[in-house]
Amino acid sequence: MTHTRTEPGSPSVSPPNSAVAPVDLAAVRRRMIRLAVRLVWNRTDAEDIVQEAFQTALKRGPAANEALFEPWLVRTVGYLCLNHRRRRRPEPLQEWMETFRDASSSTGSIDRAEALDRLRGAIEQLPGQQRLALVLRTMEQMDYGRIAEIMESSVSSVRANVHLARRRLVELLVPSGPEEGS
Amino acid sequence: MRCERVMDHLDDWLDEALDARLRSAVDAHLAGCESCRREFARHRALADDLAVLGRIADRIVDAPVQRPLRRVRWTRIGKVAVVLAIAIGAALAGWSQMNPRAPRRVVEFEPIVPNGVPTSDEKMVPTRFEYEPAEPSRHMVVAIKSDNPRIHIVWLYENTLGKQALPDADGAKPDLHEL
Repeated sequence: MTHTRTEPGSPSVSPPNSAVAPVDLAAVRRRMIRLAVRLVWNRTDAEDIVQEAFQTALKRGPAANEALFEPWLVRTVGYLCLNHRRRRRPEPLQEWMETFRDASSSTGSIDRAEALDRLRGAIEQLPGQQRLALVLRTMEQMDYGRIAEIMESSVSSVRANVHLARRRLVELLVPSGPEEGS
Repeated sequence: MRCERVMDHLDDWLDEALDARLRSAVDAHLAGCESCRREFARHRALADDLAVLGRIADRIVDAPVQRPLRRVRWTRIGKVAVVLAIAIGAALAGWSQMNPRAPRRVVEFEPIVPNGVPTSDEKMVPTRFEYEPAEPSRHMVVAIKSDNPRIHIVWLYENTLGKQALPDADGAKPDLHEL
């Protein structure tokens, strides 16, 4: 996850006469939607959740120009996603996987889509802390220290959650798990 | 390296966070241990699938147009339109119930003849007066013209029980006739 990315023309907030870099709210919002999609797998639901998180931030969250803002926002979006009651169907993976169909990818097959769909379902069965830690580590590519900051936990606890999540997923997916050499 | 020690390094091996020496030791163990090799392969496949899911999520977010999103939004608009139509219809129906439009009324009365004995030149045709009651919350004053300067006929319509005689233009209190 790149935290310094900016998008031209997007709104930003910075205190006057301050050395603090301005916060690109549009880029932050986009990152939050990306995280929410990885947790709830519906873009409309993800946008609703991020909107709710921003509204909460306006009411009682840290200011957008504070260093705590984005960790707080990631944590809020993450927990809103974990508590989210699905209102819409998850995005069909097969349709999106077709956009990867190229010479170096084998992700276009129906079997692959079904396997990923089972994985997606297995992730939803994980305890919330494990699920959030796993997504932040393996999909958002955050380091353990940053995840610990976001989840207000210790690095060892985050590492344990990611490890337990991986082991649980392998157990759940054993019938379709890859054999040696596959 | 024993199997238990190798499994302790599983996450760092997946995250490619092992230093070169430790990485070589783990790989050497995997080369000779089928059980650990199978377990690591499963985790490697899982990590690859998780990465693919992450890339799919990127595509979902980066896509300029979302077909399901458009359909849901249109459905929402449709629902809102139906709810608004029902609400407006109910409001109009309630308004018409609370404010019924009064029907037109017709009053017919005999002309007042001095001394009670009509002469041959008196017009004995009953006067027909048609009017439309005003809103219930307001008064309506109907002044009936008369050729006799001594007689003023004023009909007051009001929604309340009490009747009120209003002064005419010159300040004199007019007579009040019940029709």
